[in-house]
Amino acid sequence: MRRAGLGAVLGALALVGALAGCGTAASVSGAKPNVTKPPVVDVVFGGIESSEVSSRSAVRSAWPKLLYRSVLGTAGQLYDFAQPGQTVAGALAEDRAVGARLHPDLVTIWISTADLLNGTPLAAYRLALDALVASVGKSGATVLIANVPSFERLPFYQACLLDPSLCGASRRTVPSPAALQRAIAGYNAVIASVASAHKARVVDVAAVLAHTSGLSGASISVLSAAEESAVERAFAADIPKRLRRR
Amino acid sequence: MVSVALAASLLTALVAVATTARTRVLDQITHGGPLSSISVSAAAPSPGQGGLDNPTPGHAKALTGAALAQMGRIAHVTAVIPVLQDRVIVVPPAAPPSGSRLCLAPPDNESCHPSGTASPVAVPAFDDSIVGINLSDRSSIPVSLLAGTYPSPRSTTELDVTLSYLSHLGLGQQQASEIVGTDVEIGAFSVVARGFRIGLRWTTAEIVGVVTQQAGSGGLLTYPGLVRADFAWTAAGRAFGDSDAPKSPYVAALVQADQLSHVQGVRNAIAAIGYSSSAPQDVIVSVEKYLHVIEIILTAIGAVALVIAALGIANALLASVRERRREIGVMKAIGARDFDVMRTFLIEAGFLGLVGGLLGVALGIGVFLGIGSIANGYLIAQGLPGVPITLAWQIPVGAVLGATVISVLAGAVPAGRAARVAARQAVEA
Repeated sequence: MRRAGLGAVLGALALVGALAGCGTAASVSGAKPNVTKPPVVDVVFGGIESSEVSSRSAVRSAWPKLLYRSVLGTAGQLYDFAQPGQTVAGALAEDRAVGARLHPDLVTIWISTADLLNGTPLAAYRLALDALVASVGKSGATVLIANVPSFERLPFYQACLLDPSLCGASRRTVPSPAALQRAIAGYNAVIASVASAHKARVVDVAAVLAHTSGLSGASISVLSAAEESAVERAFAADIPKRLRRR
Repeated sequence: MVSVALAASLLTALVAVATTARTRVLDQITHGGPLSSISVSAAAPSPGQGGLDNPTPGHAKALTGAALAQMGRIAHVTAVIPVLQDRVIVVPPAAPPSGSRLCLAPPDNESCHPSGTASPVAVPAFDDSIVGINLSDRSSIPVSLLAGTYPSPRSTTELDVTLSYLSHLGLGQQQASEIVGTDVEIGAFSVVARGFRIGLRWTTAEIVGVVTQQAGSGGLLTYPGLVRADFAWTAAGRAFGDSDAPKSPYVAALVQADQLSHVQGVRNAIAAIGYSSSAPQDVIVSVEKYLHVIEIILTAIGAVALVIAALGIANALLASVRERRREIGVMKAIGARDFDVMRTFLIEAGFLGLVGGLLGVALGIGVFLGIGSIANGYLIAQGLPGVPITLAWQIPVGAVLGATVISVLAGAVPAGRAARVAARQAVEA
C-alpha cells in the first residue's frame, strides 16, 4: 500500500512538471547567427546617363541601381554621386575626395554628355579623367569606365541644339551633329587610353546601345528602361567574380 | 475530487487570465517597455511642467553621448538605451506582394477596381526614418513583435518594419508575414560638395519581422550599426554647408529606473542635466491599484470555490468515517493506534486534493489557453499586438499545493473523529 502511495505521489509530481512545462508559451523565434563579411563598396561617378536624382522612379530603375541589386544586394553598399550636368572635372573637384575616402572595391564612371555639350576640350577631358581614375583606383578598386554612345538623335540633344539652356550649356558650346560625332570618337579614344594606363576596364555601352533603340528616351531622362537594363548587363559582364555576391 | 478539480481549474484560469490581462494593460500604457522606463527627448525641459507624465518638450537640443553617459550615472538608473534615427529614402521590392491592394490605377486615377482585373503597379519609393536601438534587451524597450523575428544582434543587413511600411505596400496587418524575407533598399543622402551636391548611400537589408514600436518615429527598426553609418554619411554634409544635417544621431533615449517609486527623482535629475523627459508613472500607479483590486476579487472567487470544495471533501470523509466504523474498529482491535487511523484519513484527503488539483490545473490551463487564443484573435483583428500566452509556473504549482493543503485541513475533522472511535463500540456496531 505504501509503495502504491509513493507511486501515486511521483506520478502526480510528474504531471505537475508536465503541466508547468506546457503552460509556457512559445516565444518568438531566436535570432539567426550573424555572419558578417565586409560589404563590397560600389562608387558611381556619373552624369545624366547614370543619374538617380533626375526622376523619382530612377531610384529604382537607373542602371547603377540595377547593377547594385543584381550583383551585390545585401552584401554591398552603393555610393551614388551621379547627377545631371556633371562633368569629369566636376566629379574630380566635387566627388573624388569623398569617393576615394570610401575605399571602394568597385568604381563605375560614365560621364561624357555634359562635357560634350559644354565643349570640354579633349586634353582637359583626358586630364580630369586620368586624375579621377588614378585617385579612385589607388585602393585597388576595379574601375569600369563606360565609353560614349552616339546620341545625336536623342530628343534631349535636339532640344539642346534649339535651346542650350535646357541642358545647362551655352549656344557657343553645343556641338553640331557632325562635330558631335567627331568629339565622341575623340572622347572614346581618350577613355580607352586612360583605362589602359590605369588597368581599368572599358565598358562598351556604345556597342550595347547601338543594338537597342539607340538612346531613344523621349524625355530628359536619357535612357529607356530597356536601355538601362542593357547598360546594367554590360557593366555586370565586366565585374570580376571576386566582387560578385549574387 | 471532481469538486476540487473544478475549483482548482477555476482558480488557475482566473489567476492566469488576471495576470495576463494585467500584463497587457500595462504593456499598452508602456508600449511594451518596462514600467519604470523614462523616455528622454532631444529637447530642453519646458519650465513649469515638472511632475507631469507627458510634458510638452522645450526647444530642440542635441542629445549627446556625453549627456547620455551623465544620465547613466544618476542614482537608481539601471540602464540608458539610446535611440538613433536618420531620414532615408525607402525602396521596397518593385512588385507588390500577394494580397496587396496596390494595383494599376485607371486613367481617371480612381482606386483599384474591386473586380481585381487591374494589373499590379510598382510600389513607389518613399521617405521615412530608420530607427536604431539595441534590440538585445527587448524587455526594456517599447517594441512588440507582430510577425517574423527580430534582426540578428549587431546586424547591418537585417531589419524589422512597422505597420506604416505595410500600408505603403497596400497591405494590412493580417498580411504582415507576406513581406518577411523580402529585401528593402535604404538610401541616405548627404551633401558631398558646396552647391548642395548630393551623394546617396544605398544599402540593402532583409526584412525579418514586423513590429510596433514607440522608440522612435520611423517605419524601419534595426540595431544601431546601420543607422549610425547612415547618420555619419548624412552628418558629413555639415562640412559642405548642409546646416540641416543633424548634429547627433540620438533622437531620444530610454532611461530605466530601478523601481517605479524612483522614476520622478530620476526625471528631476534628467531635467537638471538639461533634457525633457516623459514617463507614465502616475497612470501606471493608478492603473496598478485598480488591477490589484481586480486580481484580489478574481483570486477570492477561486479561493471561495476551493473552500466550498474542501467542505465537500470534509463532508464526504465524514460520511466515509460513518460507513467505515466497523473497519476502523477492526484496525484498532488488531493494534492500530489513533494516530494510524487519523493518518489514513489524512492521506486519503490529501490524495483527493492532489489528484483533484492536478486535474483541475490541467483543465484550468486549457481554459486559459482557449481564452488567450480568442483574445489574441480579437486583438489582432483590431490591429493591436496580441497577448503573449504565458503562464508563470507558480500558478499551477500553487493551485495544486493549495488544493492539497486545503483538502488535508478539510480532512482533519473527519480523521479526528475516526481516530476517536472506540474499537469495541465500532466492532459491535
